[in-house]
Amino acid sequence: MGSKRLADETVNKLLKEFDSLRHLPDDHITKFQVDVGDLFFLLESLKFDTSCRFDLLMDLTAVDYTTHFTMVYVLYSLPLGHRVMVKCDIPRINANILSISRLYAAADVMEREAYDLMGIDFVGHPNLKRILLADDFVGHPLRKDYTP
Amino acid sequence: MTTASIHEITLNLGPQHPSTHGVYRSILRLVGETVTSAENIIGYLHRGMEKLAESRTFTQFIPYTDRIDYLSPMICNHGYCCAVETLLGVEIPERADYLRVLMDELSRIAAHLVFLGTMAIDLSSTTGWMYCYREREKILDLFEMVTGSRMTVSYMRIGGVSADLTDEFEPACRKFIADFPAFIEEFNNLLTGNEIFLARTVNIGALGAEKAIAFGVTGPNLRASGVKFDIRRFEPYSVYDRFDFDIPIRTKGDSFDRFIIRIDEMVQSIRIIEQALNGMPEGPIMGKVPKLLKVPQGESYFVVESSKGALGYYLVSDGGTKPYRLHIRGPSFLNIGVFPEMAAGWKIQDIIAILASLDPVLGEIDR
Repeated sequence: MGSKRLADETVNKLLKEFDSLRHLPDDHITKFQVDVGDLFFLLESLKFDTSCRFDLLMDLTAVDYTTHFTMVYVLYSLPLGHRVMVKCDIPRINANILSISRLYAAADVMEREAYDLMGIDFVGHPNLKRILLADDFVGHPLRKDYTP
Repeated sequence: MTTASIHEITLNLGPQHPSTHGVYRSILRLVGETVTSAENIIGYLHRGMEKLAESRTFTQFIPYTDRIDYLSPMICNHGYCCAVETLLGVEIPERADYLRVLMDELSRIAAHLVFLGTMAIDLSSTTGWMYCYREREKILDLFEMVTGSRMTVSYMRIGGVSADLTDEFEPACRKFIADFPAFIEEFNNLLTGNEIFLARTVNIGALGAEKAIAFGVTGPNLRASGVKFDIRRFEPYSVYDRFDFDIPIRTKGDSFDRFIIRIDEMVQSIRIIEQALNGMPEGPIMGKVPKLLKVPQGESYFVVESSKGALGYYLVSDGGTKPYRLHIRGPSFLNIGVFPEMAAGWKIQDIIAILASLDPVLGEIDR
């Protein structure tokens, strides 16, 4: 089973470029953890750097760890065939993060989903409103403390 | 001095309309018959799958995956089981992997047949629809022989598959693949070369490769725009690397290309099925998996190529018997996201063709 990993020299280059970037061990996928301040710039580098070229946003989601939220981005490069996962912790209170819909048009609906179900505010999103649940729905059901 | 006034009208399409393929709704703004903008309204089929997963055991969630893309349940089973197995680190018997691939490809053909049939009926060819459903019926019969169920199969298990092939399966399956080329020829004669059908699909709703990638479109819709991307080939899972098959590509990305590429893909699926039947190894169909499944703490991300595109499962386990978090990437969710971009500027009858050609399945969009 093989998702192609990011080349070691590219990983090292990125680690040098972003102070908060950490390379997480995983047998199946190249995985990064980054601070919220660097996230947008990291994704920008991953998209435009010639050794990365991650042009396809595979997935964007969030996990509620009750102490914090973790944003999860999965990117795929069609020209180079490798995959990467980027994780970013954000506080649970007043949870917000910069929208990446300017980088990836696909983020538009994915961020709306994360907003709808997890209640994360994506700053700069052009049309942040509920997508799967009704507009008058109260609460965000995928939060661990959600009670109907 | 006279000025022509332009009246914009708002038209509601769906959620209860045959051409929306389920409970999809779109708010169209029209000037005359031309669509100036479209807005997706989805969520009518939202069942809260991701939330449900958190209160079910790993095994209990398998029947729910049947209902993600209910037109190709086998592939949805497969992706979920692989996501759990990756975390669990269990070995799958070779025969189980072959059975999975065999069923995946039958499922893919069945889903593509529904696509061809519904696209035909959306463009007023009722006969085209009947012929496709007749063929699909044979696949559902094959599923019934092995799983006892026709649509919600729940065939795969964590660690293998639930049942071995029955004696009647192989002859019936071989007959199906032997008869299939004749069906394709019949269908091509009926619909693909039909002048009215061509007039309504060729050059209608072209989707450029760059835009398709930006919007996260995958699967046949992306390949119709000329991008060669198929998870089965580029990140091979299961035993797909052992089979010889081509990845069909089209270049224009119009409604006709998205239609015809499904026919090309069915031909390739038939090749895989034939090879899987011929190379089917003997042996057990279940690996060694404990009855009460505790999945080690960690996370996995597993993507499979479903009939609609890249179907991804993001699974987080806290070491217990239930998923801590399960996120499902439904390819149709993203494929339909590009629809408003594609619809603008086309006449109202064209957007029916465009929507049909995107092959949305609402179970997967709304989850």
